[in-house]
Amino acid sequence: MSQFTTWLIEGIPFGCIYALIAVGLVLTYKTTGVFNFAFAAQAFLSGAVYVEMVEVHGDPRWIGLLVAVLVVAPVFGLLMDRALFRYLRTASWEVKLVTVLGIFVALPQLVMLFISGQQPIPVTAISSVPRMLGISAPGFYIASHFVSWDFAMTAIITVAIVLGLGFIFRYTAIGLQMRAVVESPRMVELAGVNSERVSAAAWMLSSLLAGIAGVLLATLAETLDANTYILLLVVTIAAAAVGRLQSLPVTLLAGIGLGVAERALPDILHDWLGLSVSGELAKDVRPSLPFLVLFLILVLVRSIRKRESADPLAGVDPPRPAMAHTYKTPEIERLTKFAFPVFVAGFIVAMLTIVSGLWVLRLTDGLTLAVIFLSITIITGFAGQISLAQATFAGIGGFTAADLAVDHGIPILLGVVIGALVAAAAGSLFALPALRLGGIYLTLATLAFGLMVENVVFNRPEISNGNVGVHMPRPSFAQTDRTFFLFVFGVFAVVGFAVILIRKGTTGRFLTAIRGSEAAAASIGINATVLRITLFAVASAVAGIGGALFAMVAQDIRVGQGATFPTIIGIAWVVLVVTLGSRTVDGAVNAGISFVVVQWLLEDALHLEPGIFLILFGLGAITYARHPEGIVEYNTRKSIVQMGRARALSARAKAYAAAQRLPDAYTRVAKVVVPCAAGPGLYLAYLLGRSLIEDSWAKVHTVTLLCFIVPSVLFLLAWMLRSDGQLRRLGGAPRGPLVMLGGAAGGAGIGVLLHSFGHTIPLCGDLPGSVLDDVIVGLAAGAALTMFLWLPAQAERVGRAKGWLDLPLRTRDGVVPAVIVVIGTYLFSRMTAGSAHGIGLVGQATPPSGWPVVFVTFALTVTWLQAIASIQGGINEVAIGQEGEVRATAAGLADPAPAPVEAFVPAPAGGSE
Amino acid sequence: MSAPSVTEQPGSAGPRPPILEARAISKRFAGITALSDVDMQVAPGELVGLIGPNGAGKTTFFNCLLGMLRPEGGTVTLEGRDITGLPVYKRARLGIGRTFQRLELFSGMTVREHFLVTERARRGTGRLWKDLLNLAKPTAEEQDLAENMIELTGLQAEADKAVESLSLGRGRLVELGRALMTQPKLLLLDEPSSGLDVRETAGLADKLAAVQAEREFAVLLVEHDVEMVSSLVTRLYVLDFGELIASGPTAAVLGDEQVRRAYLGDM
Ligand SMILES: Nc1ncnc2c1ncn2[C@@H]1O[C@H](COP(=O)(O)OP(=O)(O)OP(=O)(O)O)[C@@H](O)[C@H]1O
Ligand SMILES: [Mg+2]
Repeated sequence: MSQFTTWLIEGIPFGCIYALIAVGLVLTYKTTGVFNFAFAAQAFLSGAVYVEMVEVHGDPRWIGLLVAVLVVAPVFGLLMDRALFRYLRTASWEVKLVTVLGIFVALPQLVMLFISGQQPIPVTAISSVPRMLGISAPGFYIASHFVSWDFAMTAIITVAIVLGLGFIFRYTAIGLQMRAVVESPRMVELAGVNSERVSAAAWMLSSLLAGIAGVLLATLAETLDANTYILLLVVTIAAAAVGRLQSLPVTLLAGIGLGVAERALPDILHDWLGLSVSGELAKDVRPSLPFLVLFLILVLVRSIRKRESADPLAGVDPPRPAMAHTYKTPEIERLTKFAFPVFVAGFIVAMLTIVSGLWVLRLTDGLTLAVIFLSITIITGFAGQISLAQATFAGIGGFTAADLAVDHGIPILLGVVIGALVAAAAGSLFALPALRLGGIYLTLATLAFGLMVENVVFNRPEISNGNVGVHMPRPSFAQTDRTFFLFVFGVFAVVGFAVILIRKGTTGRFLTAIRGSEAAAASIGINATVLRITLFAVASAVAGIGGALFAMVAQDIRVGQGATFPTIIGIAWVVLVVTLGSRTVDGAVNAGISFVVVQWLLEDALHLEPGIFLILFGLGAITYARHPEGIVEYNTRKSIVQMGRARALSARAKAYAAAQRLPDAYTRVAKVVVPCAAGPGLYLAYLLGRSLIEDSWAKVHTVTLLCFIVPSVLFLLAWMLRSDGQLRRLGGAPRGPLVMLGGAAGGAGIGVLLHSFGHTIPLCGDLPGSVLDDVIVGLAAGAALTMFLWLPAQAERVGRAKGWLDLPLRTRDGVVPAVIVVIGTYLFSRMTAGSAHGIGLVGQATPPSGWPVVFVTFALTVTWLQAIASIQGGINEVAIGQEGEVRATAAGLADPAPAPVEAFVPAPAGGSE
Repeated sequence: MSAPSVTEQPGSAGPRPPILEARAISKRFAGITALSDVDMQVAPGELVGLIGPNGAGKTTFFNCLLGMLRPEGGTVTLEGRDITGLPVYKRARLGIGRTFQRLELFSGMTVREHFLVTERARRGTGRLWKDLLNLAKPTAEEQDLAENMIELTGLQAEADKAVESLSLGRGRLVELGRALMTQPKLLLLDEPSSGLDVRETAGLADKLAAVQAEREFAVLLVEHDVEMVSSLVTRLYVLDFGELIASGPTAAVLGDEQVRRAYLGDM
């Protein structure tokens, strides 16, 4: 009994923290349909702000508390609602989930980057609060049990908050509405409640709870460590599941209960089962408890299986656009059929001969990742489920193969096969209960599974050898990097073909049917559950194979710091694959290769903090919300549509010109793009040519670079001014030149500011650059940036003035080129200041690994030119086109053949005879 | 709100044992009683209608028969076998086919692919290892069956178009064809004529009658179009607020006073 009291006293404070976040989870889930994995990260944000203010800067405790909890947390919650989820209200659960996961991955890194730093920070306990009140004892006694003030304060604060929540729910209008939404969303909609306000309030309130929990956790654990917060997520998910993602009071009690149970678990294992659970294992066992709870609930509680009813309005959504390859003409198809094998053969030959050893290893690394990613293609792209445990299944495959090979002398290839089978077995065992639920529950279960296996299984010294790691041998015939590449490529080809065959086969067709209509698929006798479990097992095996190959690259597997298969990276993988395209094999390859290239670029080439990488991929998830088909697929389709539109317009322009009534706003796209491309293109040719002749990277002086670039920049600015003038004559707004001037002035101002902070851009190559250099660069960049935003807005105005509803250009179309201007200016400044940072394409020799810099700059430039082309195309369309031409072209309806002139050239004002 | 009065004795299903027998099916949705103690019998090869005003529970009854909803009480037997606890796909394989009131097509597939995939599901010959060995292409026999169904439904012109581009009426034909491809013993049709014009409705009814005469499956038809109902079915059940208020030969039920009040009220 007295032991029980100890559990209560020591467990309840942590339980309170779990309860706070879990209540927030349920609250947002019920009011907005978003299961916010990121709450744990938001708790970390508030905790970090508090610790940074109070511990590092020595601000008074109450100010820190006020800012972290009452300002930062709700403002961030509001931001999530306003900036993201407001637009996703009708989106599918996958879209919401991927967006949330992106934030979950990116936010802790952002916090560590800008606020707290990578290292855990020690925190003094909150017990100083009672001390400030004049209480000097470290604690007090309840029936001979010592209770420290830290623990007591946590409980007191939680009680106060729960009372406050109760008050809000009972007595305020918004609280009543929120409670009503939680109980019956339909009813509330029918009653005409403003759901925007309710969801904003729910986001703010639940973020506030997360914020309090974050601060309390830091003071209770007496350190601020991101990992503590990430593990926090699993417990809170379990608590939310106990409340069936519905009941707030049950969730609250479950959170507290889990805190107590967690505290009690080691003692129970020790006293009742006679297990001596000390130190390490006790720490490892803790995360498994919430997982077990979650899993048992999923398996045992029947009512949780009730599927959410489909949105009755879902049928109203426009059909998804067809995949890009359906637009391709037979010519293009024949070309790709021919070009693809040539490209692959060329790639292999290059990898075996001219590519440097380092890059062979890196690209092989990317290819092994692509194998793992194919498992995501199967689960997400085919079966429509999201699993966050693919890194774990990869780890199961890797560890099994390595341990068998090292400890038992089993040939490594056999080990890989056994590893794949073990992963498949684990996957199907796990999938049997979880997949019947599907949807969000599967995702929750996989995350819990991943974190538990990572912490409990992978961490065992018998498996991972402690901090030393396990050696992962390569097959005897693939010892060198180049033969190993061939081996990996072979495996990838086999797995890739298997995936394609599955998609084309009965399984794939059944899955398409299920995606189309699950009810109808069942009504013709398709068993979706068996299909999904099979696919989950296959995907686990694929991940296992990929994991073993991935470990062979570095030839060892680690846990802890620098772990090979951390769950959190696995989440970033899912987000990456889904953003780049989860339906195709090339999506997986793109994801694998870009993962290693971007990682290299950010960390090795630009020497940025390691977290930036995760931040970038995390934020990339946000594009998924707009383009669920994958950003690559989206861009491919967009450029095909643009080509079609340009063809249609040029035919019409000829007719106008023949009638001598072509408005001068019409300019052929090529006339704009070619001069803009000329500078960068010629410079690239010059750089590569000279490098070839000198047989090493050419040292190009900045002035030489400027000679190439400046004419293009001047042309661009002139084009912008001219286009603005023409749009004004067509009915756009005046003051374009003033806007441009303002942008230039702003840019120059920022240049001066940056210069005063010591960021110089030595235009003429001599360090340190003068302030004039920064001003000139700022002028050009500022003017270009504002005009990129202004021109589409002008075109939009012209379109609206014509009464069009279907506009070819909108203000947001300028965002991409504007952002590229910023990135380009940044890259330019890093290059010219290159000597300080060890990279650069100008002013100094570039090492061979400078290739990717060339490549990335090239890709950015191409995207930028595409954006310019689409702006000119849009201007042309408002000048001589017809409403809805883009959409007609996209649907393949526009006729590029010139129609008779009279059909669209307006009759001259004087009338005709 | 009166007690259910039944005009004819329930379930005069004729001499043969029924293919479908539903007993005391009840279903509630959070306070609304959508079905209460509904009984129904359909004999093999029989054409039966189920009518009732909007929200009477007809679609809910279909969903309970096929297992898309779990009723709170009652049993469903198919050819004497209790199927109450079976999942949807198993009931489908035992011989119940259905169409949906709101079109449920496999978006992204063509008409032909709809029929082919249904045939594959019916045969149950799809295996993952066959996919991996590239043995999953439709066989000549499957192709023929699909081609026959395309002709039967008159969808030749649209056979290789994606279903998203079809009109509502054509979409209903695809659903009918898909349900027929499962070679059902009992076909459940949920308002097949809704959204169609008079000519399309007549065409649909003709096709249905022709196929039914040839294959002799039983049909349970939910329909608002009285003309179509009376031209097709021999027996009628009437639901109102989840309760069976009448059943019997079509003409007699349509002439019944209470039915007219509940359903055709405005007459
Ligand atoms: N999933 C559901 N959740 C809650 N209530 C439902 C659900 N499905 C149906 N209902 C309710 O059950 C009742 C019966 O609905 P059902 O769709 O079966 O009627 P119906 O006879 O098919 O009507 P209609 O002629 O309009 O198709 C209605 O009151 C409906 O609102
Ligand atoms: Mg209905």
